[in-house]
Amino acid sequence: MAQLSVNHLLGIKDLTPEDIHCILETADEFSGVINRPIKKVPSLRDVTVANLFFENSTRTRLSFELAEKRLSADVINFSSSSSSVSKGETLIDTVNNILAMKVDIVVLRHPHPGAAVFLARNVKSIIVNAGDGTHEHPTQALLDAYSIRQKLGKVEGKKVVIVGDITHSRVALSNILCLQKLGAEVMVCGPSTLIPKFIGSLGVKVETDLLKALQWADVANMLRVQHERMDMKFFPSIREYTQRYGLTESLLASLDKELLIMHPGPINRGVEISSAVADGNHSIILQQVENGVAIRMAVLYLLAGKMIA
Amino acid sequence: MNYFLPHVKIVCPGSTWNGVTTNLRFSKSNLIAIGNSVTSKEGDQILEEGLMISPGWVELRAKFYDPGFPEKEDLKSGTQAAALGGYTHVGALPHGSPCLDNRTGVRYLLEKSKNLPSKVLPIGSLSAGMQGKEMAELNDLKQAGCVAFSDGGLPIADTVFLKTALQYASSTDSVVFIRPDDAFLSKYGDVREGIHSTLAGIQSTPEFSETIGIERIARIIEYTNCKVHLTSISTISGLEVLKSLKEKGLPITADVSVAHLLFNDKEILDYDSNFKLSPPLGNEETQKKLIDAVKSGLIDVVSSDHDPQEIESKQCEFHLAKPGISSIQASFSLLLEAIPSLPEERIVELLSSNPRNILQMGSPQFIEGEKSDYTLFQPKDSTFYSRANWASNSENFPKLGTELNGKVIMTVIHIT
Repeated sequence: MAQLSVNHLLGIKDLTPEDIHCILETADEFSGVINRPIKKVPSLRDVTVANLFFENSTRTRLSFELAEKRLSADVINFSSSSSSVSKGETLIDTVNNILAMKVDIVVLRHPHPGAAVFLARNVKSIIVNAGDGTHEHPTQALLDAYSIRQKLGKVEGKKVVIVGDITHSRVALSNILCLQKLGAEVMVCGPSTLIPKFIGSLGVKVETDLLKALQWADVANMLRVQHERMDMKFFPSIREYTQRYGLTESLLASLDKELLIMHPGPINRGVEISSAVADGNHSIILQQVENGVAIRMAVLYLLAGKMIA
Repeated sequence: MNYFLPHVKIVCPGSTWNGVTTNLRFSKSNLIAIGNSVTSKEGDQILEEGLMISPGWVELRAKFYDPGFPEKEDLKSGTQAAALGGYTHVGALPHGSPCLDNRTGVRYLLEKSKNLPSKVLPIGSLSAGMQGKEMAELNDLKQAGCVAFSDGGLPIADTVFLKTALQYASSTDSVVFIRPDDAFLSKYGDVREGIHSTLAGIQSTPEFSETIGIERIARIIEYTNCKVHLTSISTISGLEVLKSLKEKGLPITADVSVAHLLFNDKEILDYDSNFKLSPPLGNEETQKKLIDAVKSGLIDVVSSDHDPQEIESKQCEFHLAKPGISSIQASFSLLLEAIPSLPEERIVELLSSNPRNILQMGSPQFIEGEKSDYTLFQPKDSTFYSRANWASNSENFPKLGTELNGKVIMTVIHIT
């Protein structure tokens, strides 16, 4: 069995290109599994997974839970919109209490960047980062890469533009790193107030004009504006944002090429993407959601394999 | 007990003894004899040859959190750590609870610090309650024993208050320590903006936040002629502005935090909260420029920026962790790790002569019978820093458990 070079999935930055290929190829197998009448395999039988979500999530939490159940893992869920610290308990104590109940793998969603790294350093468990603040969301990037590969045959050589709120996004950084490791070219596009000043140092192109970005790209990954992470206004109004960065049918029609449209969800219809585009032929938004389960099955399977080994 | 130092090198810039290697006898309170003909007497403890001795080192600013948070540091543990670090005097920032903004607090500090291993120099808060709005009773604080005023690491947002406070402080012939920063730009940042903050996804503060802070203070100094000491310069543009202000002859001095000389913002990629500092660590280029500024003399003082934090304030998510490093015991070693070739005369200027000048303190002249304060050290030796020999109540020191350049042999303080 192919093995990952890491014992946790904390971020794409820790993965080698070989690791990513290994996860994508394993996901191919699980994609077959979840599309057959009997969608369950016994791979994680007797393995207990705790989904610890310290931040609101619907899609990612359900996707992980489904992936765990498809692998026959025992699953427990913990959700809290507030951090453990605000209740007087530290993150380490919260997790150690859960691990004392003989949990093997922790899937962590947390509002603070680096929380998964911090936890991996301080508790004895496999940690899967399900999104840590404005840092990384590695399984989202893996499923996005998987979806591009599925639709376009390969990721290498493709041009992907990530549009929207790059500064407050964890999806953007993971996507940039993952796509680059697979040989894609990456551009970020949005108002300059929502693009980190030094992001060009990562080797990405920076564009503030959406039309120019779309003309350059093969794939457009539309991000929503993360209002919940903003402590001030980064653009004058939603109306003006939509005027400049909303992806509409007319904008797509003005391009003399086909463009693959992606979105990590949840989508704000009529803001960063019009309903017609989100539901249109170029959109693979729901395939991304489906692929998310296969990718998360692959990640859990490969990490649990290291535990057993 | 008396001590005999054979072939000790005296490092005392400005003194006729500077650079002279000779013999020396001293007690715990005064210098008994000096010169090549001096020999040991029966009962003397004879120290090894080849050590260096200088006027006692002075830490301009450290946080002891006493009264208020003894779990971080109290005066006893803080001065013990300071003495082990070679400091005979420590400027105690007003960060207790309550803060040091009144005469009673100064009396408490001076009474409680009597007979401790290092002398405590109270630094009164510039504003009442360190709120940055109304002045503390500066003259009364000075009369009570404060050697300087500062609101510590808190940037002062209100320019009207800052102008008024410096104008008033100048009339009391006081020096004011200010951390130059823009209170709004630095409000949300946990680290310095750069490629590493981008990779770590941590909210960051742009470098020009410090530049704006320095330029704003400079205009107020020009207006008030108040003596200002800028603390913890941490950016390249900050150094450039500082250089131009010094060339203009403004009454301004500046220090760097020693951690900024040894570490850079690559450290934040591991989210180790021991590297969460205020101001935040700069990039590698900044680190090099800060070292150059220390060597060249643009920077007057290297401060430990001692900020002890108990484990609960550090063993948590990076964003929630309190900034700071417990470093007063190892400051000399950190400096030599960052700049191994730093000449001993420059070391003493940075750690003793310049801080003494800023605080208008006298300095020992190595005269027989002199009752003064000295630090005995050996740059060529090393020190192993372990939990067993760590004096601070807090262990937020990322090099704990390692051997570092430089060794402080002992301090001699004259107790009145």
